[in-house]
Amino acid sequence: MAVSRHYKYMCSEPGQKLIRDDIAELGLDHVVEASCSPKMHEPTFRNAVSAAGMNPYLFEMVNIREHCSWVSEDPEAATRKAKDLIRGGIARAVHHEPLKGSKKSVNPKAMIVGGGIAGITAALKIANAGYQVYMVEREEIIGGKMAQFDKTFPTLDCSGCILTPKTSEVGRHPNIQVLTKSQVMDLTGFVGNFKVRVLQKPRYVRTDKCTGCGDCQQVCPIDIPSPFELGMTTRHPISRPFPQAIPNTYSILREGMPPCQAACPAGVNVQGYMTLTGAGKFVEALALIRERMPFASICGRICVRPCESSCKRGQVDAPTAICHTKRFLGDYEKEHSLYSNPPMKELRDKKVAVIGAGPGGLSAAYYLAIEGYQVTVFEKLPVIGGMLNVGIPDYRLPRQIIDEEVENIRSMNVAFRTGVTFGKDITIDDLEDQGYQAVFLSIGLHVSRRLGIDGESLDGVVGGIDMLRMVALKEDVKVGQNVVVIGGGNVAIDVARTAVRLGAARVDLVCLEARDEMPAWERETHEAIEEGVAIHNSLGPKEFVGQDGKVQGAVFKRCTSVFDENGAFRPTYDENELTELACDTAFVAIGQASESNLLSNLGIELAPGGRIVTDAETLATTRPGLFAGGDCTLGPATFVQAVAQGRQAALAIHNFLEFGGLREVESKERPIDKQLNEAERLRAKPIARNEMPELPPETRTKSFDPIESGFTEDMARSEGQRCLSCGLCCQCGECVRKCGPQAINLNERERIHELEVGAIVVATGVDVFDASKYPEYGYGKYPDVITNLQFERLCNASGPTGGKILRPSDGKVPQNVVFVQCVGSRDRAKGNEYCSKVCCMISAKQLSIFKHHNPHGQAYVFYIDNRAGGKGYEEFLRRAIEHEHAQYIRGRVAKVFQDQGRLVVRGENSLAGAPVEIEADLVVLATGLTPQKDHASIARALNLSTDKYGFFMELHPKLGPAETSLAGIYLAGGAQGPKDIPESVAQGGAAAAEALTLFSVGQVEIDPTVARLDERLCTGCKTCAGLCAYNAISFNEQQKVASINDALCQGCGTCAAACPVAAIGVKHYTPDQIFAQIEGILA
Amino acid sequence: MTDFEPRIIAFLCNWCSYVAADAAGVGRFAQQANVRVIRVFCSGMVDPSYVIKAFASGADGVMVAGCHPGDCHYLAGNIKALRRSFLLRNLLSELGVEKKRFRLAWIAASESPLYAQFVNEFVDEVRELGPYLPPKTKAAKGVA
Repeated sequence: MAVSRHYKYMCSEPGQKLIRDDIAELGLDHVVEASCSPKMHEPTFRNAVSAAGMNPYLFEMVNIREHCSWVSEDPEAATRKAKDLIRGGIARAVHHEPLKGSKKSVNPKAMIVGGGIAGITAALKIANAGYQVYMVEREEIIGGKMAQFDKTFPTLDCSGCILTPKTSEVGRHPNIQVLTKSQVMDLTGFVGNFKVRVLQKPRYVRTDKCTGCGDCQQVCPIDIPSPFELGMTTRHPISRPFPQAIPNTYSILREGMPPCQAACPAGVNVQGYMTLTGAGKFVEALALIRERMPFASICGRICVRPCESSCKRGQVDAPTAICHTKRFLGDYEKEHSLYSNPPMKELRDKKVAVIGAGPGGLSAAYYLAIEGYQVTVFEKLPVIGGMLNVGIPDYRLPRQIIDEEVENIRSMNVAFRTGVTFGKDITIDDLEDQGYQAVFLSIGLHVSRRLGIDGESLDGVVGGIDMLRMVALKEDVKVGQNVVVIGGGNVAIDVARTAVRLGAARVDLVCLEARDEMPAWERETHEAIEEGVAIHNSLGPKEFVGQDGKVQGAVFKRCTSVFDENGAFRPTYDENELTELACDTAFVAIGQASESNLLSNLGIELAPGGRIVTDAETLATTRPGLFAGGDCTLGPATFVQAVAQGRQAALAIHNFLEFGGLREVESKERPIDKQLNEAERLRAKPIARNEMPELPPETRTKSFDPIESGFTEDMARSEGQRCLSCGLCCQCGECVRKCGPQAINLNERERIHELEVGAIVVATGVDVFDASKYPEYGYGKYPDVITNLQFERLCNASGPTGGKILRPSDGKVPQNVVFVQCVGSRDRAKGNEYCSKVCCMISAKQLSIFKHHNPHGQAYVFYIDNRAGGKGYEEFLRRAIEHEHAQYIRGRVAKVFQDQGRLVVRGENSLAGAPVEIEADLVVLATGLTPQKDHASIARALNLSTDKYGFFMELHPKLGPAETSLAGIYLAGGAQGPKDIPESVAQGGAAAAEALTLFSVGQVEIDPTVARLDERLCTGCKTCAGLCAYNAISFNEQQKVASINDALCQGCGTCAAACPVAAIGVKHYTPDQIFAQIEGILA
Repeated sequence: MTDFEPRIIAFLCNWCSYVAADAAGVGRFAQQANVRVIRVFCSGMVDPSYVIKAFASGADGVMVAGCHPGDCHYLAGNIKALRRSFLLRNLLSELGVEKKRFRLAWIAASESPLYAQFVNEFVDEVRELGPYLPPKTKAAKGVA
């Protein structure tokens, strides 16, 4: 230690001179400086030692302020800590070695995050200097909060009139690219050379095609509260906040895929058709359903309705009756003979065969026909519809409904050949010989599974599916008086209910599962019980008993559990507890199987259990040109799953025939949160769920007549109106059909932009304090209690009242208006501690505007202090008091309440020391400014620090207000702290100047602190190479050692920490330096 | 035991936790004066030998703080620190260092109150454990 000095202001010029002089006079070779954070002044001192001829990397800085004196409450402990830290610094500095940095050129492009007035100012200054600017804006338009204001203080300039020239200049500036609905995801790189990933949500309307004519919004069936108008009026999801908005084109608010659509295996746009139905557009609604589900009236009768289970309206009262509404649409079309084929492509010279005319096959045929293929459907049974026809009883799905749907498909040039057994009458090879270029196999599962117990071959024991098929085909089915049905699924229920209708005196349904475990649909089970079916739970079949070859009874053992701990089907029994049920007929409905020998001859891969193995995306089997779907690949599945697979197969076959394989996987839209939110709850119209009219149990068991009679037009419409529009836009397509320039694309998806910039200006602005945190003020309870931002909209000519100040409750002109100051500001208990700085002036401005509108009105202001620091501000405030005769009352408001229909503001006059009550027609809460709600994610994306409120931290509160601790990232506007428009503009300019300085210098010094390899120690294990995120480490095959590329290395040191032989160290952070520092600290 | 003041070495990432520690200073978020900070460029730079060296040199606790997963300034250095920490904890146990004496934390630049809170909690916990006493090595015991 040559010299130790203490000086109060070492960073000042005299302090730096001390260091320089000592280096020169004493010939120092290392310098340690203990003061503030190196983040603040390390560059200052490095420059100082450089000026004295010392290499800057021989300098070491110790932080005894931010990490020590400022955070320690015990001065003695803090001093001990400071000493330790300094000792560590000295011990480390001894090991420092001279290093030389290199220069790297700056990428002269800037990113402005936030399109408010601060960001706009920065963007225009940088762009006008000739540099490229990306403006990243979260909302659909730029302009920020200023776009919502009516006038500005203290000059009462029209806010829009001074803002819109700026926004339109941004919009048409050749150097500025505006990315709306975009947010910064993350940042890599360093000053001058950042890489930023930006997530852009879809606008759905192309800005280059939209002419802004507004035809689209006239046909939009949805109204939602307008966020721009702060809920004081509604807007359509497709809209434009105000006529001069930039970009001056429409865009669509869409949250994401609603849960109903996400839950539907076929992905039917439920919200879309429910909305259209609500608007009475039944034909359009049906067309929308048919995009993914060709058979609305079938689906509307038998679907298992996963959509309704996930419908968020269920969290309000009861789910929307989606399925019944869909049935209504299908029936309405039939009743009014409205069916016409969907738009079909020109007939192609390509033939496709569909094997099996069940729901999967019919769906594939439908979508293949639309694509123009010549489709032939082969069916073994004499009827078309597969399980729809021979598996589902008439009372649930009348044959006539199936026939009509089949006729529709026939009219699309689809040929049907019934009575043709695949594998016997026709084979894949035959089909290929006949010129079919692709085959879709959807043969279903038509074989009843057997129990494999004694007595199963007795006369009177019949498979459940066999029974249903025979009934459907009007074959002779012998149903006795006492019927036992074995099975707990939907087929078993159908069998039992069919048996009731065929005249059985007693029907016992016996299943393994407990009542709440039964796989059958609860509603169906309930209806079966209503019809007299007796359910016996937790019994497993042991044997059938009989005489003379005829069944006379079934014996059951008690089932103790059905599923094992992993949820797998593994029943266990108590063999000692037996139950016998007498019967003359027994139906075994315990599952379905395929005809296994049929599939095993096809030469394709089968999964254990006989299912066909297919590709999940394309449904292609292992044989080219052969696709498969439905029950034969899924196992027993639902109707809607089979239809979904039919469509999927049709698209895959189209891709296969047209493009030779899979082209592009359809990117799926992100589903929205399943949990109901407040906005959705508020959108719920008070309409109760419509109940389906149905036959009483005693009537319905007498015949196979349909139980449910269907919705009326009014019922369907009101169900449509019950929809909460969870996705906001419902993608019904009304606007798409209306749009002349075809600017709308509802299939647009989120995009990620990777942008390279040299500088970033963060100007994300402010939010407004949530006034409902003061329940005593009645915000949200009384419509005539509004925030000051809402008042701006009331004054604004493009606002909800066209610029007339009318109170929201009844549209009358208010006479007494009370302004309440400091709502959320200067209040440690409920709000924020800080002063929001602008609210005093805003209220003075707003009461002046109010008085200009209504000279006879009276304004009152409850204030704590009047803060009017600013050019012309105090004069403006005086004018409000003296000229506009506003009554300023110093004191807090205790309560706003309603008395005989009038609002009363109760507060205190702290100057007079007396309570005061004022009757008000309108109460305006001067809500404070807060950080944006997403400030934390912005801070994390950009590695910025924030204060305890969430405002971004500047480099220095006095001398670096527009810089951050990260070189190359600058701050502007309210994101850094509450400020008014001129301050935001000034800071925008300051941030621009910082960026332009960087661009003008054109290069930045690159830290020489990169990794260094000691080749003598390297064993060539390649551990480091695999870890490097920058591909900076390669392997020298000749010398069998690693090799580091200095230009690529970023100095993160991951390799150094991982090297098993310590052959790599990061310069300036070498193990001997760190070890010495540790030893020094702990000495 | 009550007057035991632990000494703790903290390796802080230059891009997040070190900034949070600075911001905690600016915000005057009080901390117990037991933590000695060593600035590193990335939590992934902290060689396990640094941690062992700190204990060997008399530290009672060691903390490493870096950016949240996904936010690493160097893409994924913090993940490598995390992967390494599991092995390191086992190694420390082998060396007779209680697992609680070593902590790895994710503290973003914006989380200065969290930083102060973390420091105080960790200091309390290490104070509870008492001083770290290195076990006598077998060789030292076995010398005839």
